[in-house]
Amino acid sequence: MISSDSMRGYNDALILAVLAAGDSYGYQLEKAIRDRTDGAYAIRETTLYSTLTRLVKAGSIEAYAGEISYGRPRTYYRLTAAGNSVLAAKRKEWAQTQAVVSKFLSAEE
Amino acid sequence: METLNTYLAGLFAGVPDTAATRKAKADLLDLMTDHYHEELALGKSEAEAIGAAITAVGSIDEVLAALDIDPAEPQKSPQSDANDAIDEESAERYWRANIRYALSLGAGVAFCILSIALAAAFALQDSTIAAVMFFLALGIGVAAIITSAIGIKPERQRIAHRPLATATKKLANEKLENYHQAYTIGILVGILCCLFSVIPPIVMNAIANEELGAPLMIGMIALGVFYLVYVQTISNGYKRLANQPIAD
Repeated sequence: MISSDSMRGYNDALILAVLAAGDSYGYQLEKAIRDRTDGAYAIRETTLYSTLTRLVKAGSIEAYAGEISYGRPRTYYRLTAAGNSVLAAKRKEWAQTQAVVSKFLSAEE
Repeated sequence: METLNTYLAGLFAGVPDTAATRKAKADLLDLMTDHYHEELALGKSEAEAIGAAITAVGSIDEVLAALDIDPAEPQKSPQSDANDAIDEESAERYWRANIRYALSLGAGVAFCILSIALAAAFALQDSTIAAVMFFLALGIGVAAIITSAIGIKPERQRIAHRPLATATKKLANEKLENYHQAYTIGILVGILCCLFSVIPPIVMNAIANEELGAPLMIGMIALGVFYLVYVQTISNGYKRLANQPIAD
């Protein structure tokens, strides 16, 4: 399992990417990240919540009240147009980062 | 489920109670509850599911940082502003209620003790009357204690966690100081009553009326306890406000 420290800096992009596929709520996002990485990365719930809070403040995502769960409305999140642009930029940045880092860390053939 | 709530409450202990932190707490509880239910659905035991949900939480400091809350910053009470400070009139009202409480509580405790004395005294004549007197005095005592507690509760809530106006602080200190003499006398009388309660049995024995010795002894103890409870409770009422902080 990959450590939280290694993933620091990528959590925003991961959440934006999951939300690009459709609106979601806290635990569903946590589960999507775990499932898509085959359990290699399990985001901490406080990390997830703080990332969501930051993204809402930045205007990249919006929070809204969804169906009633445990007696109160569940908080859902949706990607905004600004968030979509951020995600596109993150994808581009990641491709560049991966290309650069690979030059040094790829297994020698 | 209650365990998750308690765990989360522990994480948020000392964190300022704001709309944002309440929302964060509710959302995190949803996350934990969803996680818990999924673990149960996977066939885990309740204890294992709770353990897994708690383990996945992480550090609360991340959430506080995202909410721009400094955990090291002391929490300011929502009621600590000068507008909510206890004024002299409110303080006087509380002290009047506290004196009634002291009287009722002291009498209640004294009646509970007296019930034994009355039973002992009337047992010499008729056991039925003794039983009636015992339960009557006990009932009065218990009723007085319960009534006193019910009466003072809203008054205490009214002043709880509120700062004092500067003039009220001064008044509270004066009241406490002025009451010191009465308090000392009351405590002294209470202790002396308890100490000298051995005298009635001795005297009654001497005048060949030993049956009344025990009831009188218990009666004196009841009187002594009344004084002790009464003055102590009043003094505590003055101390309670004298020790509260002054409003910013």
